[in-house]
Amino acid sequence: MLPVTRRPAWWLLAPAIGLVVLYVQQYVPSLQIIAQREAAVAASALLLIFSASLVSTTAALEVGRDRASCGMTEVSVRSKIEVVAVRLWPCLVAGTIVQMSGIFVLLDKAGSAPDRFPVLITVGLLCALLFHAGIGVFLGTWLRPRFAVPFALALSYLWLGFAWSFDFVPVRYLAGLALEGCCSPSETVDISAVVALIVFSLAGFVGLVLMAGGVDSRKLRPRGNRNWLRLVAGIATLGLGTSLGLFAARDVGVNPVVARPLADAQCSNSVPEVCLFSTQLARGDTRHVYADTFTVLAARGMPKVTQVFSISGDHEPVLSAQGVANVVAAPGQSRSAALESAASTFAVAASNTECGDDVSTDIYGWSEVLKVWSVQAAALQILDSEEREGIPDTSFLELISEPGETDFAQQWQVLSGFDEQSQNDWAASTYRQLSQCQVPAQLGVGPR
Amino acid sequence: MKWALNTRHYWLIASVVIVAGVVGTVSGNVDLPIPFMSALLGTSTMPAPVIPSLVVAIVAGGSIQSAEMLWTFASVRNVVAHSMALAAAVVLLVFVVSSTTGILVGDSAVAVLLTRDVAGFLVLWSVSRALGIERFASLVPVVYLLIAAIFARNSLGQTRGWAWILDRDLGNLWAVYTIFLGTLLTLLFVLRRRSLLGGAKGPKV
Amino acid sequence: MKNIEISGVDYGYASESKIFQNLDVSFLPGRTALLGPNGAGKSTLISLMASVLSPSAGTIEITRANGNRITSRQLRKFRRLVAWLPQDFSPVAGLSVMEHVMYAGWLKGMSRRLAKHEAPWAVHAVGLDELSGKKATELSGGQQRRLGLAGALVHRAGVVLLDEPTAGLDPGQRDRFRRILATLSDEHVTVVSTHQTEDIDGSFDHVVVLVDGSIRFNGSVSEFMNVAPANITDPRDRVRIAYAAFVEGEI
Repeated sequence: MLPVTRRPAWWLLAPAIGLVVLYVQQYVPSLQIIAQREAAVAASALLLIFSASLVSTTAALEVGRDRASCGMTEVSVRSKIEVVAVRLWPCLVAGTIVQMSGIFVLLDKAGSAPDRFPVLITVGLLCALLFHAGIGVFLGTWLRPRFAVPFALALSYLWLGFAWSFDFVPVRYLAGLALEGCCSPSETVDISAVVALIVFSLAGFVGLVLMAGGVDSRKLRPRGNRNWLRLVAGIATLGLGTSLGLFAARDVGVNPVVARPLADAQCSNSVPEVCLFSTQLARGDTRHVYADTFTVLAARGMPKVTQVFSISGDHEPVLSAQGVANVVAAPGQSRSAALESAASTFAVAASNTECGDDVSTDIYGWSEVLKVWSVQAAALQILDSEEREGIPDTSFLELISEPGETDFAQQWQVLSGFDEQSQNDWAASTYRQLSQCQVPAQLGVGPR
Repeated sequence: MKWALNTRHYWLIASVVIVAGVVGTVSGNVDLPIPFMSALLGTSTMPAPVIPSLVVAIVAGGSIQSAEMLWTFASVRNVVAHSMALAAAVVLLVFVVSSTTGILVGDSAVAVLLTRDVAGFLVLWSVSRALGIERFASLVPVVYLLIAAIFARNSLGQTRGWAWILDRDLGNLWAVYTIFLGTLLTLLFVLRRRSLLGGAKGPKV
Repeated sequence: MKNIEISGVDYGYASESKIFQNLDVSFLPGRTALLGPNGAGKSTLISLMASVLSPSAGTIEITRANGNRITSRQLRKFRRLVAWLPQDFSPVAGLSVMEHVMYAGWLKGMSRRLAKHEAPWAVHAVGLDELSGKKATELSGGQQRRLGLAGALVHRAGVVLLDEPTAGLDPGQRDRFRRILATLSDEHVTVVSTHQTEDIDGSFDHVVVLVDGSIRFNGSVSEFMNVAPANITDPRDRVRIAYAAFVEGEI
């Protein structure tokens, strides 16, 4: 009904898309989303800052236009819902276009991927826009445009920002921004988080529109029983939506993810058997590098690994007693990165041992030395000289070597001067000691 | 004088300034994490007093402007000057409230930060008016805060100077320059009584 | 033919004593001047008839459509029959004159196509053709009032309620309004609240005088003027004297 050219949402659409593209290009690391459609779409949750702000601001503007007029809407034959719908649709469509533009840019950045487009996350993010439209409708009806428009923008952003890092984790999923913490090659979205977002957003929208119906008499306080009833019903709906949303997200962790079922992994025929997920194999199969690394290190005296997975979860050991290793495998990683990931398994497993507070922090320094040795030992046999460039990286050893304490960089120098058998003996014994919370003896050179 | 205050809803402004001054001072040392994609670079934060400062700027800006009607610009009195004087009084009142609260809670350093933030936001509001953005001048401080919060960090995770609103460092020269230059433009606007970007008309309210 | 029947209506703002108590009045087809001093309740009565306000008791009926304590469906049916122009009409920002009238038509239940079809007629009826592309908020006060009238008339309602449409307008604009009023069909119930008595003779068919919330007179213009002494011949003077008689109780 209202002409397209007169709608503020369309005027703000291009700048909003521009900001989204700028933001994605400047801040979103490709590594985080490469070959993963789900992660790319989830990362777009952060772009709600732009799309939701657009929706709430323009909704307040649109509704404020009717509020500021006199003699038109008071005697409307059309229902309030119909009028609000006519006012809101460009805001919601523009918000959707902004959000979808962000998703497309991110998907482009992610490149080809084996996983499907995550419809549910997209629906959740678009539902979040409804809630922000509700903010605009309520404030635009309640306050004069001069106050309503800036407050709508501020409230929209503050809700997203405030909820993003709220200590009580389920609150984060009501705003939706925290979906950005999803996903990884070994983790998929926890549907409860998206359900919480959808439930809260829909109920919140209805609640806010009902509240707006209660305060549409251009007074700060509602007038008449019917308006009070609307206001109370709106607050109750908002409260109910919040409760249901919190209930739905009650078990979701800091990141809204669940581990992918291991059955989805594709296993190699090698020994040890290496099982990776399709996204991890999307930019090249590095399973043989993992297998070769563990084989080489076993030959050099480290524990034998029988199976290699890349699964998430805090409770999953990096290396189990049965010889099952849990490694980090990113899509598109180089052979040297895969080798480093596999070779550091023993050092990481050792440093993860629960040792209590009374053990010297040197234990972590020695884990680093063990890690550098493992990488070096495997790299020499598996990688060619070009691939070995910059390997092993000893910069961290320099960093943790405090004056007056053990000089781990120098310890590494001493170790690398040993013959192969001595190195093997040192590595096996160091791994054993670290696993038992014992600090290995120094290799003949005193403190720095 | 009484009319100049009444038409600008001074009770509303004073109430908001008192509440915001107390809240801003009490929460003065809190840093609020703000959404930022490259979280690996470290958490982005915003000093908590920014929010009460923003509320003061929106309420004061909107209330002050509501007194200005097209016909008032033909007045013998300089209505814009009245408005800007009240805006300056708001900044002063924030400082007084925040300093008093600071003495009571044993932390008086926040008063300067809060005052800087309110002054900065109000300067953005008045400069927007000076440049011809009238009806939604109060929107400009919010947009600035958003852009600062979103684009403040460079790829190394450092806060850029222009995003001074996120910076607790009172020595941030960008803040000083913004307030100084903004005040200068505001004074010009007060003297001209119309947009600095030309036009014979008075502000459109 | 429609008429407005108001019976037993009570109304009062929360903080004040009742403006109307058990008010009974009917408005017949044709042009009715609703006269009364400031604060008599003219705007409130117009707002009640337009269903902007709801009476606390009593009924307001247009033919069989009831404007009080009814379902939203009935209210919509009632509102379709009514056109209303408030005293403080203010246009919707962001729209041109033509778009504004189309929006008004749509709000009154017209389909988009019909509103688009009828809007030029309404804009022409109020003489705003040349300004049809101009922003509604950029019109002068009198032009905005005419725009409001165009919006009120666009759906060709049977009942037209105009609250002080000529207040604050210059003589030229007032004359234009009178001419627009004259174009409205005699079959419409047109109620115009005013305290300007000079326009009564010739522009209206009926007069209702409202003072302190009660009806002091309801009849034809000639009956109204007959209250004045016979030796007064100027119709304007007769109207003025009759008005004073009902409002102030003196001749």
